[in-house]
Amino acid sequence: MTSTSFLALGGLVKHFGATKALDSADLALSAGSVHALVGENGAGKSTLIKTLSGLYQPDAGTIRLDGADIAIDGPRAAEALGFRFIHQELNLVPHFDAVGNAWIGRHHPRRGPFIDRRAMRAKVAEVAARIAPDLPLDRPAARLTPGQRQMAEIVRALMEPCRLVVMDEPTSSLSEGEAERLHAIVRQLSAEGCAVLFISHRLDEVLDLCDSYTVLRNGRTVGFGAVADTSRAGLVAMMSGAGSGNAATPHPPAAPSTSPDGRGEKPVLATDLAFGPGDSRFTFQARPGEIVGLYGLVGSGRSSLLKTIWGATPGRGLIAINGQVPRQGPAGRIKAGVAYVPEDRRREGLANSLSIERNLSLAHLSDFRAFASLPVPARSKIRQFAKATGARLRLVAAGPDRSPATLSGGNQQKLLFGRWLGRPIRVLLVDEPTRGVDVGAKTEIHGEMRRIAADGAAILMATSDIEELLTLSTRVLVLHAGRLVAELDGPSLTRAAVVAAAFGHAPDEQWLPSERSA
Amino acid sequence: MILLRRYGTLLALALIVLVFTIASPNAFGSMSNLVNITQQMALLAIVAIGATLVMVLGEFDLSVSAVVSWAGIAAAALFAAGIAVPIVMIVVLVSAVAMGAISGFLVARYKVPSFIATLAFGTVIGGLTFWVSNGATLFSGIPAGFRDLGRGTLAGVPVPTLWLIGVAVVFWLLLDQTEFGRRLYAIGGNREAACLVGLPVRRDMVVAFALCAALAGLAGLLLTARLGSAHPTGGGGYLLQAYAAVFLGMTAFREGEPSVPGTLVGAAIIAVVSNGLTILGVPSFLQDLLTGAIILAAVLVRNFGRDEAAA
Amino acid sequence: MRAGILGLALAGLMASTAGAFAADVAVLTPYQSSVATNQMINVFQDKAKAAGWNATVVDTRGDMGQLASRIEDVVAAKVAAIVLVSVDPTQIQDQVNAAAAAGIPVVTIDGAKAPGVVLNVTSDNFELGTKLSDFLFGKLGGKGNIVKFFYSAHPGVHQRELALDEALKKYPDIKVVADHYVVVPGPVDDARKTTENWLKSQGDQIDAVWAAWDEPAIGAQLAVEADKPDSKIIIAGIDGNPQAVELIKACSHIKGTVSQDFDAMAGLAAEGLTEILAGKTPAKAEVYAPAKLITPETLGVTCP
Repeated sequence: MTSTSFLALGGLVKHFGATKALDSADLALSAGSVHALVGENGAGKSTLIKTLSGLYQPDAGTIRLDGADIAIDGPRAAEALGFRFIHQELNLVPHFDAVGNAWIGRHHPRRGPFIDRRAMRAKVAEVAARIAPDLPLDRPAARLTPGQRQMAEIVRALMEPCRLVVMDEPTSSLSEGEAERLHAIVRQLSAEGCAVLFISHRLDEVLDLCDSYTVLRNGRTVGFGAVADTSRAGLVAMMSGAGSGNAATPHPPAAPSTSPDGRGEKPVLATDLAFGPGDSRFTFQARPGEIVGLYGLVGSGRSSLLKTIWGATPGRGLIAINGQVPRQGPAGRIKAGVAYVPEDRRREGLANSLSIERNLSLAHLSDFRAFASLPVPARSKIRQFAKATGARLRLVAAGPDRSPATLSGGNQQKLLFGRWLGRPIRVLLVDEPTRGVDVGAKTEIHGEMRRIAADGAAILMATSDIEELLTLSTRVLVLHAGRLVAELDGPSLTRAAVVAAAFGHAPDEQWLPSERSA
Repeated sequence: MILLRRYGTLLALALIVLVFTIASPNAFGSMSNLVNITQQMALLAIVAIGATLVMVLGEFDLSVSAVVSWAGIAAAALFAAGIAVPIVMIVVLVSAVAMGAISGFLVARYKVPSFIATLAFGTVIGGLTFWVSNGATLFSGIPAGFRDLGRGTLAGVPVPTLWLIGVAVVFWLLLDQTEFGRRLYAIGGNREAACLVGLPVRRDMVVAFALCAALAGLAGLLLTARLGSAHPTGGGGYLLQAYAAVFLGMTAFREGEPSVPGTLVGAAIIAVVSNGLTILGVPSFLQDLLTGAIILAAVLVRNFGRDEAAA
Repeated sequence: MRAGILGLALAGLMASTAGAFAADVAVLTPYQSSVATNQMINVFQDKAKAAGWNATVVDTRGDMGQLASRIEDVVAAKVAAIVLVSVDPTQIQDQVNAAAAAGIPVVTIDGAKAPGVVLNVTSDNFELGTKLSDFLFGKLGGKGNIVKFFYSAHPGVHQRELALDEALKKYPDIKVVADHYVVVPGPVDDARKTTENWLKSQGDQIDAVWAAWDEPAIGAQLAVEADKPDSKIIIAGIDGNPQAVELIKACSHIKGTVSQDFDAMAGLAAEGLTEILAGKTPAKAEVYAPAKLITPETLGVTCP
C-alpha cells in the first residue's frame, strides 16, 4: 500500500471454529490520518480491531509497524506500542471521576508512599484542557452524560503520547452536538500527528471526517483509498458487493399464497409506537402469512424494538394483535398468541439447568396439566409434546432429559422455536433466527419459519444476515439510528437498496416508508 | 434533603448520641462512658475495616469471625506452652494472613464465589479452632504483659481505642491514598475494565483477603487480651455486626462505596446503640430489634434517594 | 427522615423505661436460651419484683466480648447491683473488678468464686458429676460401655466432666466408647443426631449415655426411642430439667437426673442480695444449693 504508512496489516486471517471472521484483511494507516473502517454487520471490523489490540492472535498474516514485523500479544503490548482503544461499551469505573479513571492501570504520581491527588488532577486537567476543557473532572462517571463519558475515555487514552486511537462506533450513542465535539477532537488528534482509526456506520460522518478508508466485506478488504476519490454510493456499492459482479441478489420469495397481494386479510399485528429519537414513530402492519424482515446496523434498535413489541421493555404507543390490544407484558402477548425467539439463546433463551423437554414446555406449562384445575404438569404430556416437537424440528439430541447445553447451536436454536409450537401462533417475533448456526440447521430453521407463516402467522424477523433477510422476507423494514427509514418490497427490495437505507443513504424517493394509515 | 442523603448516617449517629445524652446525662453522657464506647467498638471496628477491604472488591469474607476465634485460641494455646508474647503475636498474625490468602486465592484464581469459598473455609478454620482448644475456654498462662495490650489506658485513652485509631489511620491511607487502594476500588467498580488495562487483579484480591484476615487476627488477639480468656466461638458475634457496620458506612459517604471512615461511623452507631440501651435498662431483644431497624432504615433512605436522583 | 424514624423509636423506648426509681439490678448472662439459666433468671426476676427491685436482663448469646462491654455499660449506669448468671466471672475479671471498684456488688448464680464477687450461689458441680457417675455405674453393675456428652467451655459443666474422669478411675470396667462436644445453642437436636449416628455404627455396644446436663440426655432419648426403643440403654443427666423429669416419670430410657435446685439457687441469691443491699456482708461468700438424685423410685413410679 502507500509508502507513507507507519502501520500495515497484511493478509490477516482469523477463524472461529468453522467460520472465517477474517479472510485476508488488509489495512494501512499513515501517520496523522483519519482512516475510516466500514463494512456491514459481521464484515470483520470488530475482529480486526481486537487483533490490533492484542485480544486475538491472527491465524495468518502480518502486522508491520514502522517497517518491522511485530506481534501484539496482549492489551499491555498494544498500549506500549502507543495504540489506544475506545471500545463500544465504555470501560469506566462508575464511581471514579474522570481523574481517577484516567489513572487506572498507570503509575500514579506520588508524594512519598501516597498518591498525589493534586498532581493527578493537574495532569488530567492538562490533557482535558487540550481536547475537552468543559469536561467535569470531579463528577463520578456514573453521573456523566454519554458524551462526557466518551470524552473521559479519550482523555484517558491521551494521558501518554500515542500514535493511534481506535474508536469503535464512538458516535452511536451521542447526540448531534456531542458528535460534533468528538469530530473536532478527532481532527485535533490528527493535526497533532496521531492517527485515528474510525469505525462508524454513519456514512455522512465518514465522508465528512475521514481522509482515507478501508472497506471490509466477509472478512476481506474489498476497497481502500482516499475519501476524496469516492462517494457515498461508491462506499455502499463496495460494502454490499453490488459493484463487484455480485449484483444478482436472491429473489424475494413470492407473496404468501393466501392472498395474492398480501392485503386481502386483516392485519394480525399492527403497531404505532413512539420509538427512536425525537418524536419518530414505528408504525406498521403485518398480515397472516407474511415474513417481514427487520434490518438495521448494530445499534439501530432492532432488538429493542422487538422487545418492546413483545412487552418485555415498556413502550409508549399502540400495539394490536388481531385487532385487540393485548394485556401488559409478555404474559399478555402469549395469551394473544404471540411468540418470541430472543437474540441470545444462552442468556435470554434457554434454562440450561432444566432438561430439553422442560425447556420446551416452559412457555405454556398450563397446557400440560394432569388435571385441568390443578397447576401440576403431567410428565407424560410434556414428554409427548417434546417427542412430537423434536420430530417436527428434526432435533438431534441424546435424550429429552438432557440439558440443552449438550446440544449444538443449531439444535438449541430449534428448541427456541419448538417451545411455541404446541399452540396456534398468530405473531412470531424472531431476533436473529440463525446466528452461529451451521448451514444444515439454518435451512431447516428457515423451512420451519416458512411453515409457521404458512399456518397463518405473521413473522417479524430481525436479522443482521443480509442473505437470510433477502431469502426469507416478503417485505423489509430498515431501521437507521432508531428510525424506520425504508420499507421495501417487490422490485424495490434489493441488496443495494437495503444496505443503502441501513447506512442512512436514501437518494431515491421510493425507499422512503410509504405513509399508510392504520 | 441532599445534605440529609449525603450525610444522613452521620447525622443519625449524632442524633442517637444526643437523644441518649438527654435521656441519661450522668451515665451515658459522662465523659468516661463516651470514652469507653470507643473501646467497646474498637474490636468490632477493626474487624469491620478488614471486611471493608473485601467489600471494596465487591466480595464477602464470611470467615472473619472464625479467624477472630482462631487467633484468640491459637494465642492462648501458645501462651500455655510458654512461648513469648512477641513470637505468639507474630505466629498468630502470620497464620491469619495465610488463611486470608487461601480464601483470596480460591476466589481470585479459581473463581469460587467468595460467599461460598469463605463460608466453607471459615468452617474449616472453626474446626481447627475446636481441635486446638478441645472446645474448652482457655484462660491459663496468659501473661499480664499481653493482657495490657487489650486493656487499661494510655494517657487517659483506652488501649483498644489506640489500636483502633492506628488501624483506621493506616487503612484509610491505604485505601484512599495509595495506588493499591485505587486499584481495589477500580477492580470492584468494573472488573472487566481493570483486566483490560492490565491491573494485577488476582494478586490484589489475594492481598485484600489476606489483610482482612490479618485484621480479624489482630482483633482476636486483642479480644483475648481484653478478656484474659479465649473462647472457641469468641468471634462469632463479629460477622454480622461487622458487615452491618460496613453497610451502614456505605450509606454514610461517597457514592455508596465502602470506606474506612464510613465503616467507623457504622461501628460507632452499633456500639452506641448497645451501650445506650443497656444503660437505659432496655432488654437485649429490643436492642437487636432496634439495631436491625436502623440498618434497614439507612439502606432504605439511600435507595429512596437514588430513585429520586435518577428521576 | 431517617433521623426522624430513629428519634421516634428511641423516644418510645425511653418512655417505656422511664419512671423507675427502685434499686436497679442488672442481670447479665451469655446463655439465656438454656433452660436452666432461663429458669433461674425467671425465678430471680419474680423475687426481685417482690423485693421491689427493678431488674433488667441482658443476654449476649454466648458472646463473652459483648458480655464484658455490657457489664461496663451497667457499671457506667451505676446500677445498685450486678447479677451474673451461668458465667465464670474469671473470664471477665477486669469488668468484675471495675464493678467492685465502683462499689457495685456482684452476685453470681451458677458461677464461681472470684475476686470482686460478693456472693456465689451454685451447686457443687464436681459433686453433681460424681453423683451422676456413681448412679450410672451402679446401674450398670460396675461394668459396661458408655458414651459421653460434654461441654468444656462452661466451667461448671467442665467440672462434671472432671468428676466423671475421677469416677472412671474407680470403675476400671466402665469404658467410654464415644464422646461428643455438644453444640450450643441447639444441644437437644445436636445430641439426637449424634446419638442416631452412634446407634447406627455401634448401637449394640452402648450400655449407657452420660450427659453433662439434661438437654443432651433428652436428645439421646429421642434418638433411642426412634431407632432402638427396645434396647436396654440407660440415659442419665444433670439439672433436674422438667422435661427430663417427665421422661423419667414416663419410664423412658432416661433413668435419672441429678437435680440442681435452680429455684433454690435463685432464691438464695435473692436473699443474699437483700442482705447486701441492706449493707450487710453475707456470712459465706459461696453458698451451695442442695443437689438430689431424681429416679423413677424417688418419683414413686414403677417401671417394667
